[in-house]
Amino acid sequence: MANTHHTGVELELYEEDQGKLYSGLLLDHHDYNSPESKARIRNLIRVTIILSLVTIFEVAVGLLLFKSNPDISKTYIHLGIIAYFVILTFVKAGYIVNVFMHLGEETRHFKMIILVPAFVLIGWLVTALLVDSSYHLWINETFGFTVQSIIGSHQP
Amino acid sequence: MAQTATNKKLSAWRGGVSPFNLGYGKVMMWIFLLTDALTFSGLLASMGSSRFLHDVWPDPNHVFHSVPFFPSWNAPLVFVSFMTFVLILSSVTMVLAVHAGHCNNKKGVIKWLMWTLIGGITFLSCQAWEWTHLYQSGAWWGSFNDLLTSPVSTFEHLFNPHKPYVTAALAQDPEMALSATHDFFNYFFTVTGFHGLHVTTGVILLTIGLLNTVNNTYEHRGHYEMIEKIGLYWHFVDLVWVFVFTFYYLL
Repeated sequence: MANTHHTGVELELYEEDQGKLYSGLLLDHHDYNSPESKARIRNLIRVTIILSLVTIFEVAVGLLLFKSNPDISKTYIHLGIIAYFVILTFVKAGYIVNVFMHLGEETRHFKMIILVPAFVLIGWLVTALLVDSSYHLWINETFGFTVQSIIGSHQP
Repeated sequence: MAQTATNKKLSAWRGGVSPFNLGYGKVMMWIFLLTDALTFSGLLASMGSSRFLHDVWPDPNHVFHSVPFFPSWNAPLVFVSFMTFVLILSSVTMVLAVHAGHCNNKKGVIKWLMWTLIGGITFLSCQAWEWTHLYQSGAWWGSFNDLLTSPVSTFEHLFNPHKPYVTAALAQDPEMALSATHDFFNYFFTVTGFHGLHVTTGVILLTIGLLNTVNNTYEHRGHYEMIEKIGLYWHFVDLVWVFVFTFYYLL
């Protein structure tokens, strides 16, 4: 796939119209009614059904939690609920990026260029902010009264 | 000279080779979407940071429980699930338009782009209704910032009354609950507003793409790469909504 040596017509196209050459449009110019095309559409419908089912599972559990009001002061219940929704969200995101945005069909280096910065930067941002603010909440709850009695209430 | 020209090999550094096998426009659209993802994660992560700073946080099931045309219903999650479903379906019709473009099927592109446009406009209308509804119930940017003008009675119904520590916090530390409500709505309108702006931009791009398809612009060009680029953008809008749905309405 990568580092193909282009000659002749392809090289001219490279200089004039990259879109034609590199979006695979010259290669798979298949018929809309061909078996390959129909297989692709079937795959898209399969992914649509998966995405809808995952959303239904999310909403069903959301409504169940609304009705049953579980005791989230127990850490493992709270973390379990969060993990359930976050994992299903990432399943949906994976299908959208991989199938709908066709990232799965790109070259390995291109996948790395998009995914590595996204995971590293966003992962660090979220971790840093959440750890920092939970530490501040702990400070406020532990020393809040002491600090208020020293510097006074912030209310006017 | 002629000999050096024939000996000169093509490489990724010297040009003439496409390391990614992608058109320039598509690569740049991906890079733009990566930076846009950083912006959205900045907004969502700072919302999470504010949530972690507060003992209590408004319960989305008690904030978003209304459905248009049925004012008496108490139906949490129903309306926003409908909005999510509309956006997912419009994403599916968009990928079908991209597929039709791959096959140079002009009629297919037009048909699926129209369905995508209908989905986008439906989503925007739903969001307009939700914003209006919240505005009429007193929530907006900068609302709930003073216990004198908005006492506990104006926002206590936004919290979950079945959790003992929440009711205790509302009674003992109303300042904390007020600050949480204030932040909740500020972030809600900023995040969904920024996302809605992206949907609006997407609808404009889809309209331009549809007009160009009808006017045979892409037919003459010989390929529908522009539809693919608009499609990437539209799927990204759907992707962001998947995260907003989880972190705003479910958790």
